[in-house]
Amino acid sequence: MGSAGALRPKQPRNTWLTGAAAAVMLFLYAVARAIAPWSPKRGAGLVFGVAATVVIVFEMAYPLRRARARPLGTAQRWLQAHVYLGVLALLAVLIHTGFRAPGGLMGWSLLLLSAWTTVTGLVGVWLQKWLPAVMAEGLRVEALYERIPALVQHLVEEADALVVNASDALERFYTTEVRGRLAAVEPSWLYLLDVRAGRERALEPFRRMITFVDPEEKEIVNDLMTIRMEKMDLDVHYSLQGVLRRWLIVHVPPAALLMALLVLHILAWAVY
Amino acid sequence: MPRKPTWGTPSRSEHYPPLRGRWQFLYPALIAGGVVGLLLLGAHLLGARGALSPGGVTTAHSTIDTQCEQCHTPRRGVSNIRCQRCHDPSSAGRLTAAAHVLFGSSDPRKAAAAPDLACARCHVEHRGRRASLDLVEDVQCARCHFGSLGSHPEFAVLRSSTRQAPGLKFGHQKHVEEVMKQSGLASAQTCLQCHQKRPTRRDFEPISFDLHCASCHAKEGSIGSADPVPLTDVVDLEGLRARGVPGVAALRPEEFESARGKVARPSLRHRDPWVLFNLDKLRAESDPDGYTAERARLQARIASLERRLAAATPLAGLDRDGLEQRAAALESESRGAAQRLATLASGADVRAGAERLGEVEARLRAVGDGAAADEVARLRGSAGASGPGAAPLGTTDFEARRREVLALLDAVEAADPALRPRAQDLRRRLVSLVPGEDAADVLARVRDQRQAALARVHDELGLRDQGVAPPRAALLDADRRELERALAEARAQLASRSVPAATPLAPEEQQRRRETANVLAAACAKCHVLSGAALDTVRAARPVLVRARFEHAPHLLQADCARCHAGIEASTVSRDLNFKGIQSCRECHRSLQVSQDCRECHLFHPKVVP
Repeated sequence: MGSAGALRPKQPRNTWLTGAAAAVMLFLYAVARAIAPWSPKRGAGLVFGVAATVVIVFEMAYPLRRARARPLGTAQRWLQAHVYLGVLALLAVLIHTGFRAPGGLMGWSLLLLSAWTTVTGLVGVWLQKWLPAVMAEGLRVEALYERIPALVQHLVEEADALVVNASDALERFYTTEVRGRLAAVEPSWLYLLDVRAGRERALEPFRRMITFVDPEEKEIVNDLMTIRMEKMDLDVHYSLQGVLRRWLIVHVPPAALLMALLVLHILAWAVY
Repeated sequence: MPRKPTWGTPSRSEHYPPLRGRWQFLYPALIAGGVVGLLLLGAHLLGARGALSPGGVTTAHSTIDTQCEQCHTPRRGVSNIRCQRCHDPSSAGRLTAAAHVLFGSSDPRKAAAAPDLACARCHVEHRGRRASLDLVEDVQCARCHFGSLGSHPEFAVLRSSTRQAPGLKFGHQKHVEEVMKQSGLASAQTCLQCHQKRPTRRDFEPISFDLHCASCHAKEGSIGSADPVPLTDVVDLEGLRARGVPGVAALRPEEFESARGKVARPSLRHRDPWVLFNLDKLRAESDPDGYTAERARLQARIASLERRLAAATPLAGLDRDGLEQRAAALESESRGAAQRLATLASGADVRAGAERLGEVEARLRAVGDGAAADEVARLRGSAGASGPGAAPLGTTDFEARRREVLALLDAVEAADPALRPRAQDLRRRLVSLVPGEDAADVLARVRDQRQAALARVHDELGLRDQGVAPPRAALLDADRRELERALAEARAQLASRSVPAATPLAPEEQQRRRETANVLAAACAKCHVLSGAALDTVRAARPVLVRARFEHAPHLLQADCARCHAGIEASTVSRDLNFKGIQSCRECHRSLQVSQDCRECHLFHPKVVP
């Protein structure tokens, strides 16, 4: 699956429903705007603000899907609702403001956090679809993120065992050029661009070495090369699965901050 | 044997790897968000109010940006009272929706029925320093009025069949031709010869006789002569001097020719004090009712303006005792109005009035004044008939009664100067009555006004308790200046109608006075309109649009005068407006080209002095 394929919705029906809901919301906004001046504090402006709040609260309940939400549907359905309602919540926020630039820090913070949370959420959805597909297509090895350090250690041990009785030249080659690259996981952002990035350059020393060793040691060099390739697969896994895990850092804390500011916003509206 | 390349999962693990914690991001994020929220809330409670503000206020309000209590009442939002506290410091009530309806319709009943409208509905704050509170959206106007310039009705002044004459006999045609002849200018260029721009360049200076007319209409300062008029009808120079008429010092005895009981003036100046005083006198004698009513209107206006000026002490300028006293007075007035309304509804006051008249009748019969007793009996009968629910008086009858009572008040005031304040108050109330409006309407209006004023006092007291600083007294200066200017103007007008009330003359005598006035004002009547024995008020310099503003200067940059005032060079009657009306506005104010916003031209709030 290419990056374009990752943009294809899993359930097109939900996309259409969301589009229709957005159109209805915009239509209601246009009608209300033609009837009376727009104010976030009253009338339709307030209704959209309340709707946005309700949806945002629902969005924040997403982590409960595993533990307590079973009666409300499968995890996949929760995710679909989380994504599409999140988009509608941002639209409701924009309508609530009357598509006007806020006048102060609190207003800007609320608007930008809403936009940021929604955009990072959508980027996350795209990554969740695109990265697994890319890894499945480009890599030979599959591994659980949490197991990768242990697997790498296992590869090092296997490589060490291979060169126990090897010639001095091979052992020196292993020590200076191979072991260091096998010893620890080496994540890289480059793998986001190409999962096979740097692979040819990494194998070049092995191809050179194989011409210098005795015929009986050629097999050891080939094995070391295979181990190196597996290690590189694991590096790619570690890098890309790390992205899949860590994109939440840019999504969840801003969402929590948005929730806190939203509470204050509602408090200020109720009191003043 | 070579190593076998791995496909898929390299090997089974010996144990389950420790998975990422379910709440790895959520808990810290929620805690961090909560901390930030609490910090902001704490900052707000400690006085850093900007933390919770949805946005900055406009520059004009920036000094109270962080003093939420200045405008907001906890759990009640922004009340109009808080806006009026600074923007209507003289408590004129001009910023309410009712004042707007009254401004537009001049109908107090419509105004009383006007829905309450929050100031903040149109003037939206917290949109940043550079936002404008004046940017009221047209849809707000369209809720009651038309929706766009395309559906804007024709101007009332053009729709009206009874157009108010400007008080002058004036035709543009003759004047344009004369200017063309003298200056050699083309017709389209002659306008600015008389309509001269103000130094501020926003609009024109008012047309003035001395500046614009005297060069042709006065020869060596004389506008003409006055033929002989009987000295029995007019006051001579000595009489003017004895009365201290303003401007009389400039008159010399040789300007008067007296012979055979008549006086003539071979040369008159513009605004000649002798002519004006005597016209005023002749008017008072030939139309005493009209004169009295006119004077009463001016007196009532003066009383009203004086009352407003006296009440124009900003509440913030009163101490706590002063506020409590004012609250007590307002409560008493409000209660009084409510009680009178209740009495009126029960019909008790009509019965009490009839009983009182019965007592007067009995007393009159006892002293042997049968004619007066019969008159009172007739009055008692009519009072009994006009109980609650009776049809109100027609406009003519109403005005006749009003004139009658106003004349009585004049007599009362002249008889006992100590009663002047009371007479002034009654006169003010009488003049503000509207034909068709019954006592219940008036009382309800008074009650509502007092309750609104009371709400402001209570609010001010509440603010004092919270320690909220009062607005600066200087806010009232502009209102006071306006009131003082209007008061001086009304007093000057009253002073020019200074002839005291006289015994009514016989109809033939009144007719003779009117004929004398015609002779006396013959020179004036070349240009001025003489109605009866009075010169009509000159309204030529008054704005035609009363509820909108129009400035010529920016429009003259785009088009010449004839674009809107087509055919003006052929006009022969001063009543002609020579104006195409709303159509000429629409020609340029098209959508996406020139603003069509209502606020571009219209005023919502009436001015301090209407």
